[in-house]
Amino acid sequence: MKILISLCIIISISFSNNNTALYKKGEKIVNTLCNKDKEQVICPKLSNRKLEAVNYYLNNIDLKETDTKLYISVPKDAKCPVCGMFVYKYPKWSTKMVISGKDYYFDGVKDMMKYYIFNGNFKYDREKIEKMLVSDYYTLKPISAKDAFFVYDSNVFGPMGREFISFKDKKSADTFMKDHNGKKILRFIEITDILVMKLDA
Amino acid sequence: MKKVLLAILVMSGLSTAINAQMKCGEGKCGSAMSGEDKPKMMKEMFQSVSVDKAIILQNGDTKLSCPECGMNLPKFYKTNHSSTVDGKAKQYCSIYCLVGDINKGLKVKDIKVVDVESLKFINAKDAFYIVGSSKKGTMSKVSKYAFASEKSAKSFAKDNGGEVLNFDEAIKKAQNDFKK
Repeated sequence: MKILISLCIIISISFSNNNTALYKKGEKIVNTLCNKDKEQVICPKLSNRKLEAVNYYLNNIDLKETDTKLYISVPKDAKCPVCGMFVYKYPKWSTKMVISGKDYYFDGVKDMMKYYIFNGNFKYDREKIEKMLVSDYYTLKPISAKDAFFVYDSNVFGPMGREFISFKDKKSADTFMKDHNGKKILRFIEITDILVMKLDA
Repeated sequence: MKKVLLAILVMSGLSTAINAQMKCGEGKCGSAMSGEDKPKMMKEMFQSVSVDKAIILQNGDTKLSCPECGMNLPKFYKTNHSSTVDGKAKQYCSIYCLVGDINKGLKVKDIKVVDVESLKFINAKDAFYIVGSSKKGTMSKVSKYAFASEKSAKSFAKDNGGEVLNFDEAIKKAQNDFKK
């Protein structure tokens, strides 16, 4: 399991001095507001700014120090191949694909699905896809897109508007759907080009 | 009628997808792998223009990207704004990212916006903004499109909904997205 987890996450150990403040802030938030157990860090609902600090901190702690890295860690210069957006700014929504050993980051499930489905716009060999990861909305834990439950078109919007919101289990997807007026729950293979485009209509 | 058709399409899409479930592996299943020969294309966004039609006011290697969020400027061209900060031109994907700079306390001068009709930059203060139309917005649930001519703005609103506002009012609406 641990091997899987460490595979799922890219660890950027590089840590530049000018971001020390952000790192410290993230560390403080994690230690005071969040619950840490062996496998994950569970935080209460945080503001985007706090989340950015937490994300930055968790992505940059030395691997030897801890085994709590359970977020999709996004390099600062990574841009969504679909819209161009800097992905690290929206850690809550980050998704990731690994194609031929190369990492691609997206600012939400919708843009990742566009990159996957629209082979006329995005030309690459889909057989070479090694991983597709999404973030569990409640815990930010990375999960394989195939295992996720997606709530379609709720009243919670991502950086690119209406979204597929991903959950690690059906129970949390059900809860979210009830609370946020979701239209339906989908599995990965049920996501079609029509459904993706409808979110942008 | 359209809805029924759409429902049938969705249903048939789902059933083929479910049939494919057995041999599903990443990159080997789902909508992209349905075995159709015709490449799937995204619908062009209303905001988009081709790179050669987009006027880019800023310089440097990243001149085609919004300095605030990184998004591709030609892709979101019809909502582009620009300003001068410390003597340098900055071009934003939308009024949202301009407001981002204003909220950082930066002195943004000489604010311009793309006129949806001519695709040229005009003074934002002189523009007629259509806020809340059915055309999708950029970085916001509430879309904001600017026009040089009041007549064109009103006819756009007639077709797509939304209200006519001036720049200051549009900024106030954009600020709402920062309040959450």
